[in-house]
Amino acid sequence: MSEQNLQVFIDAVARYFDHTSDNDLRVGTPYLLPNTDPMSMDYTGIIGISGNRKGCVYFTAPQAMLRHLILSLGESDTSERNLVDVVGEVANTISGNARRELGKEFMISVPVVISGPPTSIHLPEDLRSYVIPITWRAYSAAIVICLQQ
Amino acid sequence: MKLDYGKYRGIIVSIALFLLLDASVLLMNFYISFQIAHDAVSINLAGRQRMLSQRTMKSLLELQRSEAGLDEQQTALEELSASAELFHTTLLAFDAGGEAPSTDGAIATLEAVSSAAALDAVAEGKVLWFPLYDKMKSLQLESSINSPIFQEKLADAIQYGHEHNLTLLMLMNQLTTDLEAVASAQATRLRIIQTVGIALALINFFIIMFHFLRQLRESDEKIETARQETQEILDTVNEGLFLIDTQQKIGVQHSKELEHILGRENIAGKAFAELMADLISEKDLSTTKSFIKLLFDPRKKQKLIGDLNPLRKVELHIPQENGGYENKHLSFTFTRVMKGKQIIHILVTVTDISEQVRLAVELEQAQARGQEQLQLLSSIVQTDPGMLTMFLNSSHKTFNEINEILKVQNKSTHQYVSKINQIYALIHKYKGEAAALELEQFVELAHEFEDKIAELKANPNLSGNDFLKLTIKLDQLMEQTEIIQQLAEKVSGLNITEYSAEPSATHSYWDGQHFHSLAQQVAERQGKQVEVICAGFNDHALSPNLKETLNTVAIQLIRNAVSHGVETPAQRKQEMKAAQAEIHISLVKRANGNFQLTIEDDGMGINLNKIRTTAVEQGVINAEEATDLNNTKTAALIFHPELSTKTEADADAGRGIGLYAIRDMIRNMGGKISVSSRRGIGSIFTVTLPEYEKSLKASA
Repeated sequence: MSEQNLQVFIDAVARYFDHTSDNDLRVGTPYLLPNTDPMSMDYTGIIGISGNRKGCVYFTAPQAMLRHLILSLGESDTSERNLVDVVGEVANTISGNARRELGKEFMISVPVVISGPPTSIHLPEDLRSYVIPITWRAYSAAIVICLQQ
Repeated sequence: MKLDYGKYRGIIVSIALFLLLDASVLLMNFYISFQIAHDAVSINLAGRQRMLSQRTMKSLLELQRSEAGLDEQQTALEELSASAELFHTTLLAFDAGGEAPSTDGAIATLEAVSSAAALDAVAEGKVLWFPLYDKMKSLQLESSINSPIFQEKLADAIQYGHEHNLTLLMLMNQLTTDLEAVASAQATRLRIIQTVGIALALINFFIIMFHFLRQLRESDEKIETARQETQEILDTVNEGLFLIDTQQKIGVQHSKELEHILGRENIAGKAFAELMADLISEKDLSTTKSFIKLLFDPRKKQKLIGDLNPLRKVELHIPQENGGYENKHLSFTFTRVMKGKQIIHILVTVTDISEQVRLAVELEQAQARGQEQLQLLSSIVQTDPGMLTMFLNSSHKTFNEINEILKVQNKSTHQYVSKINQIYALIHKYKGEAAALELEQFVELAHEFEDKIAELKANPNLSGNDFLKLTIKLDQLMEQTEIIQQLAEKVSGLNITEYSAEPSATHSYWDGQHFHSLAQQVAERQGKQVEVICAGFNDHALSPNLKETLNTVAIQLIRNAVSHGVETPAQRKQEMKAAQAEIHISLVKRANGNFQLTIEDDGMGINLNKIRTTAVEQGVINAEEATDLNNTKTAALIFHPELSTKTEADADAGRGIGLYAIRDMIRNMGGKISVSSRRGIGSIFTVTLPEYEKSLKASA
């Protein structure tokens, strides 16, 4: 997995947070996580990747952060639907950025948003994922990338 | 277009026969009707003959009547003449054929009678009539009705008339009856012909109906059977099959599998371009359209243009209901469907070759992996299995520690720098271990890792994102280590994965050979000569954990001794020392149960002045602090993470992190490290480590 490819996903999330009023996004130090114990928070937006590289990339965030994020984007409706929507938008930004930057090598699926523990994230258990922790204001979220070689 | 009557010949012949029959009946009908009409005239005229025979007689008698006036007599004579002439002409016409005035004044043509009875009647009629006719003729020749000759002739005629009148009437009656009988026979014949004709037509009709209905039914059954068979084939075949017409439209039938392969529905009748639109690139689509056009061109040889097929092997990304994509490798083949010399369709066969492609890729990967493993194998084959096990266990631990360090999130640059130093220490230690076992590939990877760390160190505005390159390197190292682990398990049946923290009675023999080779390698690179002399390593049962720590520490201290302590042979000569330096390593168990590792070299000892200068140069301490620093504290600076007296980093030393990492590790185990040195005589590093159980408590 090349640094440039991984950076595309990170940049996509950063791009989304550019729209927030204070743009206080900080990227933490990335680390590896065995897929036997995938990480997830309250809401997760997943995009599947096929083509030459297979796997998935997801953005997972706690509910409080998403509520705050919605308010920061100038909206007041922090209903469940909007929380799902905002995670979907982040995933969509990742998907759009990846499509543009990575081209044909990656076939990016339409994002799927799930709330609660991600029972439907099936990662190959013999692989590791890259976890890129991000903090926005006092909240922590993460971008998780798992791609087969 | 040439019509092919083929199977319809029978029905066409039957219908033609039916029409012919009808036409014949119609023709006969015409003919016999005409005959009947003709007969009707004859009957009419024959009937008139009866009347004329009587009117002639009546006119004769009228002439004879004395009271009649002259005018009346004259009229009677004229009537007699007319009747006689009419009778005579008609009789002759009946006899030999000819014309006779008809009842309506027109001229009718009569044929000579032909039946025996009629012939007899006419012949006998002539015999009786001609004398009477002559007598009447002679009457007309007389100038006066009242003349005696006339009267005489009249009397003669009347008498003759009396004698034969009834016979003549009977004969004419016979003629009429006979003609009526002939006409009746004709009518009967006509009825028979019509009846027979219609009967035949009906029979023909039923033949047509039953025969051809059966044929049609049989033919329908055959078509239905064929259709069912085709449907079964299309439902069962594993390939996608369909036809394309000249307009590049898909036919009404296609195999069921096609929908599954392409993930599309309602394919029948669609334009091929529409079907493939989202599945392949626009360029491929346009090439395919041109290719199909070429296939429909009879002047082009199919074999020659076959290579142009852009879809012979194509990867499709088929959208799924869940929003994802299914990757498929498909192979499209296009075959001309000929009718005579005309290309009417193109048969397209779509085969899902994903499995073959997957296997091919796997094979390729396996080959590549095989190559890679072979290289790795060549590097580990010389390595002692016990040492390798220890190295791999230690590697996993090191990587996990690095990952744990990465996992802890920081905010300040200072924290980031500290993080880098910790990782640096671990990877440097790892590099030493790899170098000790001459695992060049890992040394190389570790060195690249260190290069990346150096890049980060040079960055004054560190952010978390910058650590991505380290994480990637860590991933690579982990991956390579996993490969070598699998490989080692395969080649020597090593049970590396089962890591035991308990002291092992069956521990592998630890002869210190790898210490010696490490020292040799390092010395060789630096143009030095060295011998490592080990003692005590096999005297004690050591827990794997302790063994690993001792190994790591020893390796690092040997590298340190060769790089920093041992002089070149030339320098040693000047110092009156043997060209080959000696490093003594010994492991002893103290009375309190602690293990003591001693590494003693006969090198130049620690150059305290150089350490002070370098520490000031590298900003570890300031000049003022340097002057106040006593020898013990100065010597302690060698454990500082940011100090290195080597000017350039290489595989052996130079990044100053080695001793720092060692001290850290020893402290974590609850141990301590000390150094004593005499300038020009050598250095002694003494490491004390508690027994395994104590160290566990300490780390807990």
